[in-house]
Amino acid sequence: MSDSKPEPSNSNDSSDQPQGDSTHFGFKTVASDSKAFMVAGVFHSVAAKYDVMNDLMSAGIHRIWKRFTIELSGVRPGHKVLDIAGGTGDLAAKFSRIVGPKGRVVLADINASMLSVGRDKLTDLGLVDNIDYSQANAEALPFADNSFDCITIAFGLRNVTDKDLALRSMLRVLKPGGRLLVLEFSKPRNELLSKIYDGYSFNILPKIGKLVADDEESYRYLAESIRMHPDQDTLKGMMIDAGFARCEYHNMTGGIVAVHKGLKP
Amino acid sequence: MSPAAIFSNTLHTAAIAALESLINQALKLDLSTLARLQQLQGHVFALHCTAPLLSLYLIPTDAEVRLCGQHEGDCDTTLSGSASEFLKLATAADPASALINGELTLQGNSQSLIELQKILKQLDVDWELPLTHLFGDIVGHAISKDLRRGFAFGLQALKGFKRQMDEFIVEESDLLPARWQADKLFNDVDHLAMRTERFEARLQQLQSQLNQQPQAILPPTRT
Repeated sequence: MSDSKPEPSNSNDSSDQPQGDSTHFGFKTVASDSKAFMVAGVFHSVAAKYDVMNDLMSAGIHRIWKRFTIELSGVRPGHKVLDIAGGTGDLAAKFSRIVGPKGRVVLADINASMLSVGRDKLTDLGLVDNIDYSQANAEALPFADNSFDCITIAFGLRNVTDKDLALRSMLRVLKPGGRLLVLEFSKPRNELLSKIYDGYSFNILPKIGKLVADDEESYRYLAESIRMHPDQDTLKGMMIDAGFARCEYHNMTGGIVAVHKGLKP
Repeated sequence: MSPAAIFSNTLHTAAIAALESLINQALKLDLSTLARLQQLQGHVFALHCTAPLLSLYLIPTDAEVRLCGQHEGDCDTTLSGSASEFLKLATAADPASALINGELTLQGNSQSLIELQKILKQLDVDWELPLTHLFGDIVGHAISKDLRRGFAFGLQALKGFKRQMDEFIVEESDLLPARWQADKLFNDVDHLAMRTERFEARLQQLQSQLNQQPQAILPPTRT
């Protein structure tokens, strides 16, 4: 593993996109075919402590980022919503209450462990009437064309091997006029904040992972994968290339996180 | 870029989340108000505060009130103005009158807004439930009974104090005129202002008539 911290490319030919048959897994270069299995390994390992770690790592701010995403979604009662990489169901729980009995929420995740934790959590909250679960790969969504009013993917896109393919797959299953919201770590817009953030995520974050989840490597991968993820403008360009219209993004917490929004024409 | 600007989105969303949580906690302790709010289910109230600059969207649902900093879609009622004007409306005994006479700009359905204000103003939080959860049935009930009694006494004492203070300022110290005297003066001033405006308008009308027919009115010049 390299000690250097490569900067994500600012062009649309992001370095995180598959080049030939290789891609990035954190700072490592691995075969494209094996990334999904390696990511699955990370999430199998962290699933049980996922919520606790999210709260610890972000001091609870991830809830505010998710809330902002929901506000941007424009989801109303009766809508059909797909939450990809929905993990432990934070967004799906809120969407379930908003869409009501006439709407539908599909919580999708490629990882069986995460989906299982999410399903248990939502069932315990009494949210059972309008939620379906699907173990699905974002690159090949198993849904009919024009099915959803809104698709969200929160902290999931950076783990997808072929992001362009995933974005095109999301476009296909969205209804015309439907919107995609991508909540993802991004690039801080302030130099000082960027340095503090680097120090925190490469030195402190893996230690917290070791202490709480007994898994330092998975949280080191988290920090590395964030650095390898396309920055705000690159991701916006990728969404435009995939066919989304009126693409825009909102930086949150100084650009540590960004919410990208695009509509299906 | 200042820290406030860097974190503005996050802070704004966090503040709204905290306020929403507070309102919903209070509503859980007053189920009758929550039931009345269900009449307004699905209405979107947009509140745009101009000073300080802040936008808030209030959406009653079947089980809670949603507060959002952003809303993508149509709003049923949009209200704009300063924070002090919003406060006046929130505390007004007659919200319709406060809306007409205040400086808030209203677009859309005013009836829903008046209904919302009335419902929220009647909020009567029952502290007994959380207290009994905390201290048990007997102690919780006793504390809440004392709290209710204390609250009622406090309200009564406040009313009495206000009345006595009014009397002292007006009758004893002669610092201010009585309310009826002040009201009469304000009415007289309004009446005078209205008559002055009419007089001014009449003068302007006569002036314009003079300008249109100068020869007919001016006295003949001597040669």
